[in-house]
Formats: sequence, C-alpha cells, structure tokens
Amino acid sequence: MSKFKILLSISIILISACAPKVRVAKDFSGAISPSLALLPASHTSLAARERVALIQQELSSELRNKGFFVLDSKVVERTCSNPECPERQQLAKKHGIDTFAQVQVDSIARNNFLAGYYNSIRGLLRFSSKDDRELLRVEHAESERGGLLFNTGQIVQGIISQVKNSGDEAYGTLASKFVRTLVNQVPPPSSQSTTENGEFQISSLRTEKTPLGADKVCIRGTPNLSAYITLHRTRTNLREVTPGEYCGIYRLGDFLKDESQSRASVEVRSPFGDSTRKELVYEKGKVRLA
Amino acid sequence: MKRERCVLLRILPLVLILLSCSGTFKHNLEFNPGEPIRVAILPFARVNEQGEVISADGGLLIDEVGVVSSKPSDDPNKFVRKIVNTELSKSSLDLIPPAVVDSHLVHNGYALKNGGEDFPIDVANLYKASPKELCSRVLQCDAVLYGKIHRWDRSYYGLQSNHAVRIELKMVSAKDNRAIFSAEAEDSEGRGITKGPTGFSSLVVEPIRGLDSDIIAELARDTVKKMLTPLVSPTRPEVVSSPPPAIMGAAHDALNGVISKGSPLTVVIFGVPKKTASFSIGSSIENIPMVEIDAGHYYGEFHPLPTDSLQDATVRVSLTDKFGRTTTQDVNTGSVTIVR
Repeated sequence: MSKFKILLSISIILISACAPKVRVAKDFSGAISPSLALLPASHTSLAARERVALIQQELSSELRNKGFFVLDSKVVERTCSNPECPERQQLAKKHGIDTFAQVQVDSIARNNFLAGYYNSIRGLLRFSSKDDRELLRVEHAESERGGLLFNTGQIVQGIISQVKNSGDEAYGTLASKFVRTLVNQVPPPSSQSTTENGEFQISSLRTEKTPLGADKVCIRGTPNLSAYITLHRTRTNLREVTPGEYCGIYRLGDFLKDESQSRASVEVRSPFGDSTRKELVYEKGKVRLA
Repeated sequence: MKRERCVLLRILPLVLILLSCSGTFKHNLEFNPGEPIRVAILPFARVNEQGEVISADGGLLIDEVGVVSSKPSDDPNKFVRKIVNTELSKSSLDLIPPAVVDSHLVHNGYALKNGGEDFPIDVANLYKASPKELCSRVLQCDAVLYGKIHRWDRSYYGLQSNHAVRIELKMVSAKDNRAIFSAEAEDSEGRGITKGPTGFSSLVVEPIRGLDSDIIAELARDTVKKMLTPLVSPTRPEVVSSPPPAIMGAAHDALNGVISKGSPLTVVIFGVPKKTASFSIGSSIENIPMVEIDAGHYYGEFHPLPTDSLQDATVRVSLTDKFGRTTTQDVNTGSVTIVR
C-alpha cells in the first residue's frame, strides 16, 4: 500500500511538472478587462525572428478567439518604441486600455535524431497594467517528441510522425499548441458586453476640386477612429482633420471610370476591428454615398 | 488454400493501414481570395444526419484520466471555429474579430433565450437569417462563413481506436446570397492494430492511449488547413507555380526630399504589368493607389493636407497580384519631409 502511495505521489509530481505555471498578483481581481493591447514579443537573440513572429501572430489570434478585443498591432507599433513600451500610458489614455499582454520566448529547440525527434518551446505570457504592474503570468514549456525512438509501440505511427517533422509545418503546430496552452490558463474577459456595438457612423460625404484638379474627399463620422477610402481594391487612409471629419485628396476619375474595377467605399474603423462602411456611387463625374 | 490464407494475411495489414489513412476533401471557389473582402465567421453548428442543429457532445470519460487524455477546453463547434479564424487570419480576407461578431449578434436578437452568463447564440435561428440582412443590418460585412460539424467521433474497439471528423464550410456573399466558397471534408485517424504494434502490450495499451483528445484536435486542425488551402495564398497550387510580382525600379520627384506646400509628391514604379500598385509614406500615409499608365509603368500622387506632417519619412512602394502576394520596396531616392 505504501509503495502504491509513493508511486501515486511521484506520478502526480511528474504530471504537474509538465503543466503550465500560473502566478497571479495578490491584488489581481481574477478578471481581465476585455480590451487589451498586445505588446511586441520579447525574445532572446537565439530565437529566430520569424519563429517568434509566428508565435506573436498565433497569440493575437488566440486572444481574439478567447473573446478579447485586441488593439490593432499597427497602432501599437506606431506608439511603442521598444517591446517594454514605455509609452503605454498613451495607448491607455487614447484607447481606454487597462491591460497589456506580452509573450516572452526564452528558447526554441528542434532536435532531430534521425530515428526520433524532440522539439520544444519555452516561454511565458504576461499580463500587466498600464503602470507596468504584473497582474498574471503563465509560464510554460511545450514539447513534442516522436519518430520511431519515441513511438516504440507503433512502427507505422513512428514513421508517419518522423516524416511530418521534416517539414516546416511541424514548428507551426508546436507553436500553436504552445500559445493555446498559455491562453487556456487565462481567465475569460471580465464582461462580454463591449464598446464595439456598431455605434460608429458615417453621416455625410463631400468632395471639392483642388487647384490642381484633384478631388478632396471628406467624410463626417464618429470621431477618434481610423477612416479609409477603398479605390481600385486598395484601401488608403483618410486623415482626421477636425474631430469627426476625415479627408484625403485623390484623382477619383482615374479609379472610378471602369465599373468592373471600381469597388469604392468609405469606412470608419475602431482600433479593435469593428467598422461601419458605406459604398460610393460615381455618376457623371461626381461621387456620393450610396 | 494454405497459400491463399498466407497471401491474405500479408495483404490485410496493408489494406487496414490504407483504410485508416483515407480522407475526402472537396471544395468550390467562386471568387478571387486575393480581394480583401470583409468576412464574418459565424458561430458553428453541430448537426445530425438530417442536417438539424443539435447540441454539442460532452467529452468522453477517458478525458478525466490525466495520463491518457485531457478535457477539451471547448466543445467541437467553438474549437473548429477558432481553428478556422486562426487559419483565415493568414489569408487576404478582412476578418471581423469573433468577439465583435458575437457581440453584434447578441445585441441584435440572436442570443439564446435564457442563455445565461455566456450569452450563447441561437445558432438554429441565426442560420435561417439571410446573409444580406446579417451583413447590412448587423455585421457590416461582405460575406458570412457558416460552419457545420457533421461528425466528431472517438471510438474504441479493443485493438483499435478511431477518431473521425466531418466538417462543412460555406462562405456566402452578402450581395446576392450566393455561395462563393464551399468546402467539405471527412477524415479519420486511428491508433492500434493499423499502426503496426510492436508487441502484445502495445496491442492493448496503444488503442487506449489513442483516445487522447489531442489526437482528434490535431486531426481537426489538419482537416481545416486542407479545406482552407484555396483561400490561403501561399499554399495554392496556382500560386506556387507562378512567380510573385517584381519591382524593377521606383522613384519619387521630391527634390532634396522636400514636399512643398501646395505641390503633390509624384511616385512612379516600373514593374511587372497588370498588378495593383500603391505607395505609403512613413507610418501615417497608407497605400495611396496608383494607376497603370502603360504596361508595367505605374503612376501615383500624394497631395498633402494642411494638417499632414512628415519628417524624414520613407516612401515604400508595393505591387500586389491577384493572389494577394505583395512585393514592397523602399524608394531609394531618399526620405521626404513636408515643409510649410
């Protein structure tokens, strides 16, 4: 009986050693606000940039899948001068963000022994407040082994896994498992209600000719958003010249003359991905909202 | 008779192996996936053989046994929807974030009555709504993507365990309620006698280990990846066989890097013909469209607004082909500054 208890204890210790480690701050309420910004990944110089970029992309997708509203990465890149983002207060103030997430990749290893393989990714996911106080940390090492060496019970499965490991997809699969395990330890967002309720609107459009014969296009809509006009399958940004007025100058006739190519529209979009759009109609040299 | 039995015994394992590897995939694509259309991925539905929406299965008892399996964090509908979201985020499609989709659906009458804290969506009702109405009134999209899980099975047969999935995806245009992409796939994965057990103990142990929920999760992921191959540019056969767009040269006309008040910046590209060209300046001016004035010669203008401000900003040109592949290049005639 005592031998059984010892064996059981050892098994529990071994199993728990493989599980992610979660550390929460003492004053962490247990809930994370639904809007967050994902800071650039931090990594050691040994981890290849492209591999870290894939982890970052997977993380962005998983956090969205979990129900978080993740700030547009372009907004973060424009504001933050380095991965630690000392300018986070700007993001917090402008976009109402209370929480910042960041992945740190400590090591990425791929070891192929011909008759077997062992791959691993080690790192952590950290959530912090706008004053860089750590709220929650999840540390994890995801590993994968296969090939004949580690599939001694099934020859065919061993060969299949060895062949699969030879391609690039194997790293992608491991990276997505690593990210999923990290995000599964994160509590869901504090509330499913959201500011993203389709409250954005485009109320009017006006155009005027410039002295050089180009068209100045201005739309009036919800202020403090990003605005775009799509011409000839290309989406270009309008700039907010006054609160709620977004403008740009283009030669509209070059893009709207051929009906088969003219998919013209204007759009206002929040940095969390929600938007309102209106199609444009081009008739007799003039543009109006559909 | 003895000889025939011998031959049969040799062929039988091979047949079993081949059977365990089979999967069927078919798709139909009716639009250019390089176009950045806005797509809403709706909550997925588990359906029965008659196509009626049913509630998702719980896991198996084996998922409670930590050394063999682990409890899945999501039901199959949510899990497959997440995989589809992740895969399609690598395509040129403009996806509405899932939380935004769910939030809009809840706020527009598609929440289940007595849905509880998580506000699950009334999928049966949602799937009856017209895509045109969903996109124009609720989601602001160009198309909606439906997903149905027809099969999500883990079975144990003593010497063999099998995982099987059957998934259907359909993307419908909001313009004319027409299906612009559809894919159906069925695949299975086995463990046990079909994978070459090396001894009596592995004959018993491997089928039990083969009930691991990770296996069906990986099977679903691989199946979805194959289904979405036509939409994710780098893996499509016609993409792989054709060269990406090339830029032979580009220039702008800002003398000494100065854009004066009232005058536009002109940018030209010489590259392969019949592509979509654009240029950006720094991080604040994105993708000004250009016109192809002659085969391979692209021309564009940036007219600064009085409020625009640029300081030593790099001009970057791009050429994009019909598959959504983009080649970019910094214009080497120097950075630009707006001077008032």
